[in-house]
Amino acid sequence: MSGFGSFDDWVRTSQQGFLAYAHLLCADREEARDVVQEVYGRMASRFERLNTDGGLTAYAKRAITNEVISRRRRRHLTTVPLVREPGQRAESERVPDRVVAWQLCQELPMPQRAAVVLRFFDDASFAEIGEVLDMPESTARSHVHRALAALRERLDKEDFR
Amino acid sequence: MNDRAEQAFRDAFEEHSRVHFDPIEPRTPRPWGRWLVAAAVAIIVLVVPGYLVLNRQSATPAGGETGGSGGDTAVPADPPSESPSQQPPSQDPTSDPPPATATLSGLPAPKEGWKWVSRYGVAVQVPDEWNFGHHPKSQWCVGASEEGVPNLPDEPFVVSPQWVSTAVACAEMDPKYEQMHLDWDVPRAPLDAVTEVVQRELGGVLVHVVLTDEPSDEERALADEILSTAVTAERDHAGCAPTAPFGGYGQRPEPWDLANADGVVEQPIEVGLCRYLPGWGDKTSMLVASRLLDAEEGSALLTKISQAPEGLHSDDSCLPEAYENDAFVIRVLDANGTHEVFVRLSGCKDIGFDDGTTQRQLTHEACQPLFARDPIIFDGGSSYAFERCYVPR
Repeated sequence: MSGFGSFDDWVRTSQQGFLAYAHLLCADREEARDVVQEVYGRMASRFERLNTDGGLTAYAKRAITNEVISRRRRRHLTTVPLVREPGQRAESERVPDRVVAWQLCQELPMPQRAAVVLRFFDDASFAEIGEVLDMPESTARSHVHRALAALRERLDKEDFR
Repeated sequence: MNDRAEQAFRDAFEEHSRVHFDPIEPRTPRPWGRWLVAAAVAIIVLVVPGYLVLNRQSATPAGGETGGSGGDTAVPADPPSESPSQQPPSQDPTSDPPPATATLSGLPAPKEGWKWVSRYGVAVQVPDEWNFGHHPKSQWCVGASEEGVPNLPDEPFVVSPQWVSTAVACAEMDPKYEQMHLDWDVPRAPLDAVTEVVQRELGGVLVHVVLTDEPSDEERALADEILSTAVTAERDHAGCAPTAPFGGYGQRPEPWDLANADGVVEQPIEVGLCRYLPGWGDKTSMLVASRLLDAEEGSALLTKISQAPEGLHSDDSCLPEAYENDAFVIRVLDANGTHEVFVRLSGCKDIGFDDGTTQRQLTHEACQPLFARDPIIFDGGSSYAFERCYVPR
């Protein structure tokens, strides 16, 4: 039996982590909130069973990932988020590594992006990533290693720019 | 091994996860059994009497008053939306009644002895004793003393939204006059500073603390501590969103009526003031200043607004489209939920207060309280608004 006494308790204690995870996947606050709300709504009726069986968090993260992917597929045109991030990047002498990483992350296919987020934000093992994303551990490992290789290449280019 | 690429991903995720969201309210699962029981009850209550009535060929019209709003076990956590005509006139159809501890703030409580300040959608905590102040930046010589001492606050401060700049070129300011301060800016390199700067980029905004000429370890630690609290937020401490909820002409808030037929306002729990100005390089209006009023101050403000004559002002001498996005929003939390009053201060038309139900003119009594205290200053508007809203400092 999992430690969550009720659905309400679980929503209250888990939402900040799920919202952060969803935000890292879709890079849009409004969409992240919609996604997590949607997932909570769908899991409400299954909460008792999932809470008893365990794996509630992994199930929710998989549902969040799938919901983000599903929303991307439904989009045929670029949409403009309701809340826009302010500011424009000016010419800079050197782009920080984290900015390069974030730019690359947004270009990655969603399953790969989710794997990278789980690895470096949640410190998940490859086995755990595979469980959450419903993929073999070897695929999870491959996703992460390829993303790292791509980032190293970009960082090298930045160094010689 | 934690190599450079891994660290870059970690740093990127750490930065972009520092987003504060309004809490999601749980919706308790509703087992189908309860719905089926409720549906059965509804059928018995509605259909059976209707069947009997029809059979009796009664003159009572079908669909009349049933008193069938009971059966509260089947009412969803979110009541079904009703059309505006079905709503009580004083209630915002989009907002549920707030809990007893409701607040406009979308941020957690600040640390003991600290307070939130925000601009451009990035909120930061500073020590309580830090006040707002004006920093003349590169135009320090304007208003400087005869000895060339710039007019800066004596204590560490938070920079007020930028005043209008004059086209004056000053020599570089002597760093010894610099005062420790917090400011927000467009990410760029280098920043316009003559002393050491500690900075953090968040949500496309560069939050930075400028240190004095010879900073102590304590100052540096304080700057780090201040920047460590920075978050992007859907709503700041005054309940203000990062971007203005209205832009072009004709946009109105969700209908609400800040005063009843007798002109009495609902006692507010809190009132938030949100000042927006067009952002960098585009027409999106960004939050530049906000302030939270307590119940007493908020009630006084709403009462003054409710007493303003009805109607909006048009300005024939305006520059078309020049100030369309200049926005001010009053957010009101009362027993019925959260409401908004849009205030337009410039542009060609629609100048005045609008609660979605009644449009009212700007008056001294209603408008000057908006600009009575830092960090919200009257920083531009039509001459009509200037005459009614400007508060000399």
